[in-house]
Formats: sequence, C-alpha cells, structure tokens
Amino acid sequence: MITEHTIPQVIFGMDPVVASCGVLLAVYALIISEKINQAVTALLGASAMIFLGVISQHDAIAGIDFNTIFLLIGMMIIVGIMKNSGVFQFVAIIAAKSVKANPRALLAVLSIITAVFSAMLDNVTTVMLIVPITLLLTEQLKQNPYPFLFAQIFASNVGGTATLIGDPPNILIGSHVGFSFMDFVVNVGPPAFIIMIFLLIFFDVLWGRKMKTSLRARSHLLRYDAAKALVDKQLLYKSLFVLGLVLFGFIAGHSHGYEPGSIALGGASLLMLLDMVKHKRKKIFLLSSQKQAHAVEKTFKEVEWDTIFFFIGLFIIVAGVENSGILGVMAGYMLEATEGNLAATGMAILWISTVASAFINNIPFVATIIPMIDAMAPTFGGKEGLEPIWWSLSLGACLGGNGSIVGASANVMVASFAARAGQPISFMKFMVMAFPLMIVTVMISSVYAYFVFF
Amino acid sequence: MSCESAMITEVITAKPDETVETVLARLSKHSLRCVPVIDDEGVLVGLFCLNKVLENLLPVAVTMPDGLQRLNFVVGAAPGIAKRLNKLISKNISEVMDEDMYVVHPTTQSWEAIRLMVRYGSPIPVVEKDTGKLCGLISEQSSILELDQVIRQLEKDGEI
Repeated sequence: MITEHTIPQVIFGMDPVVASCGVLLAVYALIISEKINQAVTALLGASAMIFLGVISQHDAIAGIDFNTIFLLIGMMIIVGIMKNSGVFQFVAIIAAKSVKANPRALLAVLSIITAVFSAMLDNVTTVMLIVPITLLLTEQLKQNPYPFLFAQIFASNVGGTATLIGDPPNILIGSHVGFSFMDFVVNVGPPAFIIMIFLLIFFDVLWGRKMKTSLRARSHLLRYDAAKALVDKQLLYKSLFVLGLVLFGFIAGHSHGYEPGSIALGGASLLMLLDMVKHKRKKIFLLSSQKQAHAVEKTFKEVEWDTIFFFIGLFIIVAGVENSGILGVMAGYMLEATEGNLAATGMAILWISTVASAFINNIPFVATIIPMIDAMAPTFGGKEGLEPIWWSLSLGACLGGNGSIVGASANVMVASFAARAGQPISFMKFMVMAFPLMIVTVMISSVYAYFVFF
Repeated sequence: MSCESAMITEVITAKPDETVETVLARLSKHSLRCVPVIDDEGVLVGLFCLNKVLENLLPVAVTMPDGLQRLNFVVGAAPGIAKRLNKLISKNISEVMDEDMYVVHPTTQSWEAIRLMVRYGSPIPVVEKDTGKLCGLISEQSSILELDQVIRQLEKDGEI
C-alpha cells in the first residue's frame, strides 16, 4: 500500500511497534466484542495511529486503497438501483416454477441462484433479497425454512469466493495485487464450483430427499405470476445493461490498465444517469432537477457508508502497522516455521485464514495479512512468486466465513432475517453442522490448491 | 386545549382473554376499527385493531422488517387467507393485540395527540399518568368535534 514511508515519530518516545500493535489489538478486541460499531472502531483506531505519531496524515491517506473504496461504492450503487426492479423475486419465482414447486429441487435451485448472484454482486445484498422470497416460498410449500437458509449462507460464501467482486477479501486481494476479474474466475472459480457441487449433493442427501409437500401447496405456488414480481421492467433492462457493461469492463479493461474501481464507479454513474431518464406513454423525458436531486439522494443512501468508513479506517490502521515494520518480522517467523517452503506457507496461510475468518471479521484479518504476505516476496523470488499464496488466502478467508454464524456479514444478515421471521438460528445450532462442513470445503480447497497452485 | 376535553369517555373495551371472534363481532356491531384492551383493574394492556388482524393474515416474509415489498404476483390466495383467518379467530386477542402503542395523558396537549394520530394512526388511548388506567380515547373525529366547538365559542366571542 505505502511504498515510501516516513520514519514514525511516536509520542513520548514509544516504540512504534508497541504503539501500532496496541492500536491494532484494541481495534480487533472492540470488533470482536461488538460493543461499539465497527466503522467507529476503525476510524478511532485510524485517528489513534495518526495522533500517536505512528503514521503521518499524508501516509495515512496514501494508505487508503481507493480502488477498493471505489469498487465497493460503485457496486453498492448499481445493486441499490437494480434491486428496485424486483429481479430477485422474479428469478426466484421462475426457478420455483421451473422445478414444478418441488421442494427438493427448490432447495438446490435457490442455492444455485444465491451462489450465482453472490459471485456477481455482494453477498449481503444477495441474501438480503433472496431470503424474504425464500421464506414466502417455503411457507407456501409448508417447509421448514432452516435448510434453505443454511444452504443459502454456504452458497453465498462459496459463490462469492469465485470472483473479484464476490466477497470483500477478494476485492482487497485483487486490488492490492492487481489481479483481474478473470484471474479470480480461472484460479478460485474451479474450486468454488467443485465445492458448490459437493454442497448441493450434501444438502440433498441430508435434507432435500426427505422433503415432501402436498400437491395442493405446489399448485398454489405454480399459479404465482412471476411477471408481476417485476416492479420496473425499464429499470431492469437498464440495470442489466450496465451490470453487463461493468462485468465486460472487469474482464476486458484489466489489460488496458483500467482498474475495477474506476469501472464500477463509471457504471454506477451511468446507471444513475439512465435512472433519471424515464419512459412514459411513448415519451422519453428527463426528470426535473428537483426529482433528480431526490433520486440521487435516495441512491446515495443505498451505499453502506458504515462499511466504506470501516474500510477507510482499516486501511489507515494497517498502513500504521506496516509502517512500524512488525508485519515484516511476523512474515519472517512464518517463513522460519515453514522453512521457506512455498506449499507449506500457502497451506499455513489457507488454514490460518480459515480458522480466523470463522470467528472474526475476515475483512480486517485479510487487510492485516496482505502486507505480511507482501514481505515474503524476496523468499519466493519476487511478487510473482506469491501468486499461489494469494489464492490460498482468498480460499481460506472466503470459505472460513461459513464456520460460524458470525463468520461473514451474509451469515449475520440471514440470521437476523430468520429471527425476524420467528425462526432464529442459534450460534451453536448453526456451528455444530457448519464448522465441520466448512472444514470439508476447505480440505477440498487444500487438495485443489496443492495440486494446481504449488 | 388538553386531551381531557377532546377525548371520548364512553369507550367500548375488551379483555385480553376474549377470543378474536368475539371481539371482531363487537367491532362490527358498533362499527369500530379498534378497541382498547384492559385488565380487571382497568389498566390499559393493549389495543386491538382490524389492521392488526389483517397484518396477521399476511405471510411473515411481508410483515417482517425489510421483507417483501409486494405480493401482487401471488394469484388465487383468497382461500389460503380465509383459512388463516379461520385459525386466527379462535385465538385470544392478547396474541394479536398491539402492546406497543402510543398513549397520551389527560393533560397532554391536543396538538401532541393530533401529531401522534397523523403519524401513527387513530385512535390513541388516554391513560392516567401514574396508574396506566384507561380514561378514554382520542380519535380523529373527537379531535375535530372538539375543535369545532372551539370555533363556535370563538364566533360567539366575536373573535372570528
């Protein structure tokens, strides 16, 4: 992140390592305790880094990865506008009808839809939109929604693993290293696909094959009119056009030097413009300036600013820790433990990130470990030699999120929806099955990584 | 003008252990939308309204916060809704009533009661500040009637 550091001038002559690690540990502790909002915690930590003199304001600002910030804001705006079209309900109803409202098949198709949407959009938004329609469909078919929600948590995290934009750890890794959208699809897409197939079979054996419902309930669901679930067709076409353009930009833009942040923000501004152009009674017109202001304000409210400021704070904290030189020392310890063996280091990163991500937020974890991995470059013949380790980190951090109900933001979102619907998912109930299952998925990843990356 | 002067004091009430069916019949008989629910001491424990009954008929996917925004794609749902109502009417109203409603006190200014009604709907129970006992109800009609009387008085005094 920071290429040229200024020498830390920590107040009271404190050791920069002690000061920066103290702030980092305090931030981690507060995030884990969930007593204070995580965005506020990260910003307080970032301020402490600057006021303690661990990092200058100039270096703090240089430490913020604006490519990641722009990518997050851009995609949040696109999804924020797109979700108003009703496309998620539409797709879920079409899928339910295509399997003739058979609950066993519905479990599989809703998981697949969740995985695909999670790969293209962020996981939290995907589950936020797919869970309510899932609850309606399961209520109609008189099914316990728990297996569906459990499967969707796993599907969202596995689907998110497959692409650059699917999960925040991938956004952080991709932006830092400069991996393209296709780099992710080619390298972590296949293990994600294999894991998804495994999960579909597992969920079918465990729950799907036992699911039964009455013909009457199925016939009710088959009468659903999917077209009516589409709230705004014009908006859907505009959103799909822009999303397609953005995905094309991610794929084709990398070789021309266009970074994902610019592409996503460009797409978001184009969609906001298109959203101001309306079509009514065969007339095309532009919204009045007052309505434009209202529309823009409404769209900007869709951006999860707490997440954005959380990222900004984290980038500054990590830049401070990096500035102190401690991450280089830690990287040295790890290389000593793995005797500088690439495969052993990769596996260690994969499993450490898995276990860490199951219990703590994987975003600060990945943000901290990225500069540590960077420091290993000389041992593995330069930055290019680190590529297998980045993929190991991506697989571990994304899949590890399945280990507990607090392992990923999407899990927390599903649990909160389930509680609102009177079907609470307890920490232990989820973990008893999720943790071993997550271990199996990471074992699949390890085998894949060992044979393909190392 | 305080709520005391604008409230209705002869109020039809219900008890928490009455069934939904019984209270629905009472609402229908008196052409009411809501009844306050009181315990044996006359303390307000909830508000039972027709819209709460309707809310209970909707799928949880719609009524929960951040749930589905529309249901117009569900075709032919009437028999299913009727079955839900049939199940609901045998329940006690304590399971359906709104326990988290806004209340005012006899000394509360009518302006505040009007603000609450505009924001959260009518009627609003008026309760004694210390005991929580029901004193009456303030509704859109009772507020307008009271204001009408004020207009007449002002006319009489030659102020309008």
